Amino acid sequence: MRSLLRLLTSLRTAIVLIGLLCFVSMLGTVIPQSREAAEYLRAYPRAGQWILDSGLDDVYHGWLFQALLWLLAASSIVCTATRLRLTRIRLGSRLSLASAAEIASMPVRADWPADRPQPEPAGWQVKPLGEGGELRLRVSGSISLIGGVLTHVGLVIILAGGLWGSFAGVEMAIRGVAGETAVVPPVEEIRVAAASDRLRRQARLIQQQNPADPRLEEIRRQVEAMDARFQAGMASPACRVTFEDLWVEYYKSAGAEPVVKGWNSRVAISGPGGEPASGVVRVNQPLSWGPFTFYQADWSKKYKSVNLHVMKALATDSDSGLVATLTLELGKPYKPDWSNYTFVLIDFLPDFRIMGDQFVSLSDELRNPAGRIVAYGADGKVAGRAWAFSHEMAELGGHSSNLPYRFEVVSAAPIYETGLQVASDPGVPLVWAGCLLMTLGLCLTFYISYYEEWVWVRPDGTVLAAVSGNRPAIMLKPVLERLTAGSTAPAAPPTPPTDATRSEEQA
Amino acid sequence: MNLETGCFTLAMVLYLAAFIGHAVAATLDRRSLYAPARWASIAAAAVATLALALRWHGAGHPPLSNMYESLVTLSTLLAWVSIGFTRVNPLPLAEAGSSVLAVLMIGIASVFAREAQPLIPALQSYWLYLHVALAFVGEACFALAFVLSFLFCLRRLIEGRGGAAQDPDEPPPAEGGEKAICGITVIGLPAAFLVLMSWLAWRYYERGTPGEEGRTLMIWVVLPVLLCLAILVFMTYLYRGVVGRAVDRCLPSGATLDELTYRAIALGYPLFTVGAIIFGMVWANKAWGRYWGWDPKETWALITFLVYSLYLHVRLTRGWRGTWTAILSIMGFLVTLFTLFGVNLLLSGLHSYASM
Repeated sequence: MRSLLRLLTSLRTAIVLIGLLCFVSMLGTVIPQSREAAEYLRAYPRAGQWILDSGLDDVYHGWLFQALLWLLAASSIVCTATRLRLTRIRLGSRLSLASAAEIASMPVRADWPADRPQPEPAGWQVKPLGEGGELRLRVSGSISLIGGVLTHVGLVIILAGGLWGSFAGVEMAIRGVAGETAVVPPVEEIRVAAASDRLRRQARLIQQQNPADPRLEEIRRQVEAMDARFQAGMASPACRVTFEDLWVEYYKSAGAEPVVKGWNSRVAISGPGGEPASGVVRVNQPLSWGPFTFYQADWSKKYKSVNLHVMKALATDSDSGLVATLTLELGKPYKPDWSNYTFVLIDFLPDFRIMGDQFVSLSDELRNPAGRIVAYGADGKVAGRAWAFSHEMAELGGHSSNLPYRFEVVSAAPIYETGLQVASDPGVPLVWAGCLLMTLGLCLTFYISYYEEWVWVRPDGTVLAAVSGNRPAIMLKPVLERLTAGSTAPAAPPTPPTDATRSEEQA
Repeated sequence: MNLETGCFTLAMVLYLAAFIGHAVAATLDRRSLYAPARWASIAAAAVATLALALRWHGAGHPPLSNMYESLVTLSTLLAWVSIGFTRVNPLPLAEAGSSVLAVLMIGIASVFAREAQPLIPALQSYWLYLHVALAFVGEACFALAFVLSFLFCLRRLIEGRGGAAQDPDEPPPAEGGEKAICGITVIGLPAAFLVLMSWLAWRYYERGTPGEEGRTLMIWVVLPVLLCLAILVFMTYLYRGVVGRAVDRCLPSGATLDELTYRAIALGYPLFTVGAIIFGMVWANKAWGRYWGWDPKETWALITFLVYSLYLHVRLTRGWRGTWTAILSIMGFLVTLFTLFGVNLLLSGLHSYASM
C-alpha cells in the first residue's frame, strides 16, 4: 500500500501518465473512431485486426485510455492531499521550519550594505537562533499558495463530474416535421438503448471474425431483452415533444445563394414528470424540461412528395410518349388506373451523385434530383425498377428503367425537418464547480505574486537578505534591491527598471 | 486592393522593417537602431489592429471565424504580447523573432479565402468572443515562449565560443547530446518549416487548381524566408567575428531566457486553459448538449494543455531548467499550431467550419 502511494505521489508517474495520455489521445484523432469492423479491415489491411483487438477503434472508451485517465485521477487525488498538507505547513510553520543554511543558499540574496541601517524587526516574524542571531520573515501574497491546491481539487472534481455523467447521463436525437410528436423514453431506457447499440456493434465485430462464435447467441438474447425494455419505455415515455413550428432565417444578401442565419423550432413538451411547457429552441439557446435539455442540433429539407412525368419507354422523337403526370409520396404505394403496376417511390435524392459504390445526395437543395421507383405487379412481386431524373439528366443519360415506362422528375416541394439533441447529464453541475475552482486556482497561482523576504542577522551582527517566491529570479531581484535599499513596505510587484538600471543590466 | 488589405500589407512592411532594425541592432551592435525598430513594431501592430477593426466593422462579427481571420488575429496578438513583454526588459532578438512570426502568419493567411462570410448559426454566440479571443491571447504567449526557447537553444549553441567569460551562476556550456539537440532545433526548425511550406505549395499545385494558393505560398512565404535565411547565413559568415561577439553580448544569458520562457508560458497557460478548454466546454454544452465529445479539436486542445502542464510540472516541481524545458516549450507550440491549423486542415470534426 505504501509503495502504491509512493508511486502515485511520484511526479515521474504523473509525467509518464500525462505523456501516455497525450499519445493515446492523439491516436484517437488519427484513427477514425467507432466505425464498423469491416471498415477497419478494409482501410488498414495490415493493422486493422490489431486496431480492433487493442480497442483503438473506440480509444476514449477503451480500457487503455480509461485506465490511464483513472490512474492520473488517482495520482491527482493523492498529490492534492500531499499538496494540501505542504501548503498548510508553508502557511503556518514556514519560519519555524526555515534554517539559516536555507536562506544562505537562496539564489536571490545579498549581504546587507554596511552603510544602510539594519531593518527594524517591527512588521516581521522573528525566530531567534543561537548565539544572538535571528531569522526574520515577511510574507506577501500568501493566498497564491492555495492556488495549486484549488487547481488540482478542481481537476479532480471535473473528472468526478465526468465519471458521474458517463454512468448516469444519456443523450439521444429526435427528429420531426411541424405537427409531428416525438417521444422521449425515461432516462434508464435511453441508457439501455445505448448499451444495446454497443452490444450490437460488439456482435458485428465478433461475427466479422467468427460467424459461428457461441457468444453471439448470448449477445442476441441480451439485445432482444434490452430492445424490449426500450420499447416499453417508448410506450410510457418520460415526455412527448410536439414540433409546433420550424422556421429558418436567412441573411439579407445580394448573393444568389441565400445564407442561413439560424434555424429555430417551437416545441411543446408534456409528460408525467413535469408541468407542460413550450418554447423556442435555437442554436446556442437550449430548452430545459425535467431532467432533459433540448438542443437545436440540425435541420434538413425533406421531399416527401414528388411530381413525375411518366412516359413510354420506347417513345420516338416525334412522340414525347407522355402517359401521365403523377405525384408519388415517399414510401407510399400508388396504383394508377392506366397501368397494372403499383409504384412506390422508395428513395429521393435532391442533389444526386455517385460516390464509389454509393448513391448520395450532396445537399438538401433540388440541384440534381433523382428518385428510385419500384413497380409491383398484380401478384405483389417486384416487376421492375426505375430511376427518375430531371429532364436534362434523362436526356443525357438515357432512361434507367426495366419497365415499359420511364420517369422524369418535374418538381418536389420541400418541408423542413428539425433535429433536436436530447441530453440529461447529472454530472454537469459538478463539472462547472470544478472548472470554477480550477480557474480560481490558476489565477491565484500564476497571477498573484507570492514573496518571502528573509533577513538573517548573523551572530557577528552582519545581515544577509534574501527573497524567494513563486516568481522567477529576474522578478525577485528588484524586490531584494528595494528591501536592501531600506524600504519598510511589504514587497510589491517589481516596477520597470529605470534607464540606468536597464543599461546596467545590459552592460 | 481595399483598405483592410492595404493595412495588412503596410503592417507586413512595418514588421519587416522592425525585424531588420532589431536584427541589425542585435547582430551588429547598433543600439541606436533599437528604438526605431521598436516603434516600427508598435506601428505595425497598430496598423494590423486597425485592419482587424475594419474587418470586424465590415463583417459585423469579430475576425475569429475562419483560417484567414485566425491567422491575422493571432499575428496581431503576438505582436502586442511581444511589445508588452519586452517593455521592461528589451530583447531585440526576441522582438525580431516575433516580427518574423507575425509576418509569416499574415503571409500564410493570404493562402486562405479572405472574403468575410456571415457567421454560421453555431458561431452566433458571445462565447465566440470569450472562447476564441482568450485562447488566442494564450496562444500568442505560447508563440512568444517558442521564440524565447528558440533563442535559448541558439544561446546554448554559441555559448563558450570566443572565450567569453562564463557567469558563475550559469550552467557550463552545452556539450555532446545537448549541443546536438540545440543545433538540430536552431537549424532544423527553419528547414522543416521551409520543407513543409514547399510541400504544401506542391500539394496545391498538384491538386490541379489554377495554382493561386501554391504560388502565393511560394512568393509570400517560402522564397522570402529562403532569401532571408541565405542572407543571414552569408552575412553571419562574412562578419562572423563581429556578429558572434554582438550576439553573444546582446542575447540574454541562458538562465534569463529560460526564466522569460517560463514567464511567457505562466502568463499564457491560465488564459489558454480558461479560454480554450473551460469556455470551450461551456459553449459546447450550450450548443451541442455535451461539454466534451472527443472531437479532434477538443482532443488536441487537451493535448496542448497537457504538454504545457508537463512543462510547468517538471519546471516547478522537479526543478528542470534549460535545454529540455526549452524543447518542451517548442514542442508545446508545435502542438498548439497543429491544434489551431493542422486539425482544421487534416482532420474532420465538429469544428470543421473553421477550415474555410
